[in-house]
Amino acid sequence: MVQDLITGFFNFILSLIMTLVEIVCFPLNLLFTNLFPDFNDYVTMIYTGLDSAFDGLSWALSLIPPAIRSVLLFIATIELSLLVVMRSSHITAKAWKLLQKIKFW
Amino acid sequence: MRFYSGVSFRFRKKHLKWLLIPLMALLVRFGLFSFLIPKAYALVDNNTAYEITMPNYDELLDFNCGEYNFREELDSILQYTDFDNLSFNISVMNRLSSSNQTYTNTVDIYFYPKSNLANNFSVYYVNASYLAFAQRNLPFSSNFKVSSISFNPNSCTDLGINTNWGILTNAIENNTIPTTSNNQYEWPFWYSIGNPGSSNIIDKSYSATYWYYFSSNNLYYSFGRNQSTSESNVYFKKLHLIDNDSYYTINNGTNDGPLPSYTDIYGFSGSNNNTGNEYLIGNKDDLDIIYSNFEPSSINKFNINVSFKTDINKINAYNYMQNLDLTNYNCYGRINHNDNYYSYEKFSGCTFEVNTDDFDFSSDNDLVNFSIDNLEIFDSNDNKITNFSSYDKLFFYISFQYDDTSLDMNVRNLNFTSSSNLLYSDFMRGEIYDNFYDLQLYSKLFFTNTGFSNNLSSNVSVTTKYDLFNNSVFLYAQKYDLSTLEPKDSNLFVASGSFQNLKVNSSNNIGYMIYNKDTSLNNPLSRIKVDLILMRDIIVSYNGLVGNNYYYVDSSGNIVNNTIDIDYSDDLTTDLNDLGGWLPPGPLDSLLNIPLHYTNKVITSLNQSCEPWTFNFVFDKPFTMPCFDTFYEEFPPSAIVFLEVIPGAFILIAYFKHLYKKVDRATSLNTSSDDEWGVL
Repeated sequence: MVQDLITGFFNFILSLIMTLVEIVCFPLNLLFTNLFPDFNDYVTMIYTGLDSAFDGLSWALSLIPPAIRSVLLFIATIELSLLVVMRSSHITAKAWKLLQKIKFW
Repeated sequence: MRFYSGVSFRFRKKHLKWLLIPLMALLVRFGLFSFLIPKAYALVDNNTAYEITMPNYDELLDFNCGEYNFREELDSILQYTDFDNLSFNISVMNRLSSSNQTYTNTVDIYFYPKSNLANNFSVYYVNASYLAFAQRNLPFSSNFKVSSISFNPNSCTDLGINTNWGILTNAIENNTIPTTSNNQYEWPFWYSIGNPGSSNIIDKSYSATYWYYFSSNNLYYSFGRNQSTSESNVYFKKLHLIDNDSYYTINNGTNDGPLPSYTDIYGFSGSNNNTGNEYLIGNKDDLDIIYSNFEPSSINKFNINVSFKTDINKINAYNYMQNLDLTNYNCYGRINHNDNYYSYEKFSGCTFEVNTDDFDFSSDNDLVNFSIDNLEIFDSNDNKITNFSSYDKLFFYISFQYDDTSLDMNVRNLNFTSSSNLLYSDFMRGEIYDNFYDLQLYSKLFFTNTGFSNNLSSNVSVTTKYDLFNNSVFLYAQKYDLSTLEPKDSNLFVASGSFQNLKVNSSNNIGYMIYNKDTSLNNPLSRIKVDLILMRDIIVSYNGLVGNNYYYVDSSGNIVNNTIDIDYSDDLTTDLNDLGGWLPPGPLDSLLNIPLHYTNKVITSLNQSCEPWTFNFVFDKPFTMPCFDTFYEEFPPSAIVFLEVIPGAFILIAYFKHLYKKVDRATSLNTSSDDEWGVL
């Protein structure tokens, strides 16, 4: 019973958040789609262009001594982890504050 | 301490932090955190569970099963796996013999990746032994007791080919046993799977009165019921859930008992049509509901299950099909029996036109890949259907079966939302089964149009599970314009990989399904037209950490090297990659994913071996920069110390100091409410 309540509560919150996200994204997506109908193509173009620019990246990085490369990878992994955790926490906190301000319940 | 050089070092309190890291390492090394390891319990009754001692891992694996040594077999698996992602659970389950009505507890050992369970794993299992004894009525009596855990090699059948279905019911990782409001058990569902693509699953001699099995954590969900050894009396044959895509099959024979109360059943499984109606369960949530209504009065055999994570980087292969013979077809439609479940029945009079003009099965062309090139569906008046608003699902599957090998490719779960006409979350799947292992390969398509008449776009990601020996994978995905059901240009995606070659010599099944939203089939199909195009010698290579590079065939038949976000692993970079698609599908999502894509690219490049860099040089001539792979190998070790170790150490020390400051600040609670979240 309690589990159902908790599950239901979280589902409610999640669906609420998803609805909000969709509400926010919908006009933006619509804007992009209608104002820039070829937007997806351009995004693809950006991807392709940057991908080709990154082609030599693995070659260039192989110039760095292997041990240093491992160290850099280690550091980058930790930094990215921190970034992801902190940013997601930050965003979660912001979203929560926003929800608190709405107070429609 | 003081040195004569004048350099002094005084150990201060602040230096203690440098001792913390090795200290923590020591603690971990000597198992002082072992209390964090989840324990296994055997269920006794509603409130009691016995703890089961976890056996030594190496001892656990080192036993013979049939003609196989489990450890050796596992090793052969693990050469393709990311071993770090393996873990195992032990749980106790009950077995009921119908002859003497004694209950025997057995043990399942179950290996699975710690995360990302829906992807990149295969199942490896073997029958283990019966372990402890217990009596059980439903609900459990209190004299249930686990005496010991051991393995009896004599009870093992051959590794991998045992098709007994197992049940893993009573394992829980805490002492609480959830019950539903009507006091039925919600079983902690685990799975055991035999050979889901083969009908001989139910031909095994079961002594169990009836049986079922489950899984959890996005792995297989399976359950069934076997009232005797006779196939006709089996009515829960297979339930098979993978992430959002699941199915189980039911043989609804005359001797069947009542069906369990399903809250929602939809879908279809294309295999074993001769066993009666077949149903599909859509997702895990549905299963949870089903389970809560399912009285678990069944007892089973057990398996050792090993699932593992693929290392896709080691896959470099191709696959082929041979002598494709599209002779049989089926058109199915859904019938809503009530609000709770549907069935799928063949459209009578529906014809299936398959155009294979492009195929060439000459003897020197035994490598054949194909793709659906054109789809057209006609209604009962033979008018081409261009508006699918009266259907809520569009399901396409094509199945080729020969001997014990089949290949299924599915496009399913196109959800048509009538209010907004949104088309979302398509799911394409390729599956190959053989008599050893289950091999599946998935592609998720996310269609992002805002109406049926609009063109579709899709974002393809591929995950794969694979077996060890004789399997291949094949996959394609293609964007369609739903108004015409014709593929869009340059959208073809082909991925394949194998360890060895797969030969599919025949086919006997190709089908196309439209799911009605209405409770009756008011729009039966009269004709389905499919053009298959030939692709040959598709070679897919996965390179790098995440495996981003692949080849695909464009609409002109040219093989193009491309990069796509493919999720093969659960490492950090992939998680970053996966953020694409979290937002509602649309340009915004694509745009926001760009930095993540390139962050991932940098990390991947940092970790992968060098690839010669080719670019256009003067006079527009291609110029290839050779790699410096052996450059550092030529250095004497003393030089390596100065070139790599010392600079690396300095970088690390500087970084740890930096990190310490950050963590210290974040945990000092001196920060303001604004920046404490983002201080790092």
